[in-house]
Amino acid sequence: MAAPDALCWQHWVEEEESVLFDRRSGQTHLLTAMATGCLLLLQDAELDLDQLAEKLNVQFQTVPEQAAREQIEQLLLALNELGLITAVSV
Amino acid sequence: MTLNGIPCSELASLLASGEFVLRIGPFFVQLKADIDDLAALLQRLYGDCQLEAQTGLADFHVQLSKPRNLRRFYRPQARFLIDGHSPFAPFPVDHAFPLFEWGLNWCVASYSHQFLMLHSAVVEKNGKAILLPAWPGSGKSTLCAALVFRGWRLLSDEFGLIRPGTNAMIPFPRCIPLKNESIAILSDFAPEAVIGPVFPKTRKGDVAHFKPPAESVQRSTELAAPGFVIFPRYTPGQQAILRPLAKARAFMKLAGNAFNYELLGESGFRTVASLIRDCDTFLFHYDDLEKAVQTLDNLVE
Repeated sequence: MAAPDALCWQHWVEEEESVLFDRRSGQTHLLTAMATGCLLLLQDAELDLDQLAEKLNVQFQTVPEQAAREQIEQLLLALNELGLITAVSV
Repeated sequence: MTLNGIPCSELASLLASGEFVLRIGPFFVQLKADIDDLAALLQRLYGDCQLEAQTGLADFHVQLSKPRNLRRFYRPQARFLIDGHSPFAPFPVDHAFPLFEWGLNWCVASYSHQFLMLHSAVVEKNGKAILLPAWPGSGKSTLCAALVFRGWRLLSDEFGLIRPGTNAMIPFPRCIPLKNESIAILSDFAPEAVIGPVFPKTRKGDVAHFKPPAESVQRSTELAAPGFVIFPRYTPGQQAILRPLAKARAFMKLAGNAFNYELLGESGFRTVASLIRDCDTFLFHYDDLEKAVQTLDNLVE
């Protein structure tokens, strides 16, 4: 999975949520901290679900691991539906 | 020269011939009209605005005319035309002034994409502008008028104008239209205010227009630095309370409340982001106007 480069961000210090503008669709999205972390990781590198879950678990200290993984799967589905991430064949 | 400096009969002649060019904030509005009493009302409510020389150049070429149909004999109407096209159904002729005001709003919202246009009142005091973005019915115009008649400078009661890539609010000081109960409330609150006639039973109820203060009009080329974005909500029984609002949430509310945010694309995003970055952001519930004004005064003193 990878996040497209057509994303424009705005974060604010000490705020969990951020906003994102997608240059391709022209849409603006309000993102949770987890969604923001996920997209930023995917912008840096193509990651599979296991790699992504591992990095997010470290970043957000989510436990238990299985619940966190399900949460990340749901998040990826939502981001995919919004066109904010794309599947990449390896 | 201001409208006040010209005899009303001469204004009526200029209106009839289409040589009437009014400057309001950044816009030049050329108006041609054959409506009785309109010149007097324009002079009463826009008397401090500049009448510009007729050069053929204007942002909007507007005409208010009486349709030549059978209705003119028993229920005359006024029609609003922009560049010869009529975007709305005619109004009763005695509602020509609110038709002009709403028509001008429509023109600005439809064509002025050189600006990011936020649906917001904007007022300024001590060098700090407050944006008051809100949906209709939230009490935005009433609060804006209350602030203006307690010494705040009016930039606009409807359009928060910003040139993309900059971060200064552009004044567009026009009449403040108040509806229904708000008319009497503001008349009591500010007995010195100059108010136009009440237009009964418009599509928004009874409407009356409050003249913008002369100082606000005279300073209409002076930009204002934004300091606060405050989302007001008239809430009966609620004490005036400012509650901090997370900036990401404020961004979404402000952008969602704009006339042309989506049309401007990334430049709209960056302009709103810059604005929110430079401002403190709040939700504001209020009931009593005096206490609301005091609360906002405290912010800038």
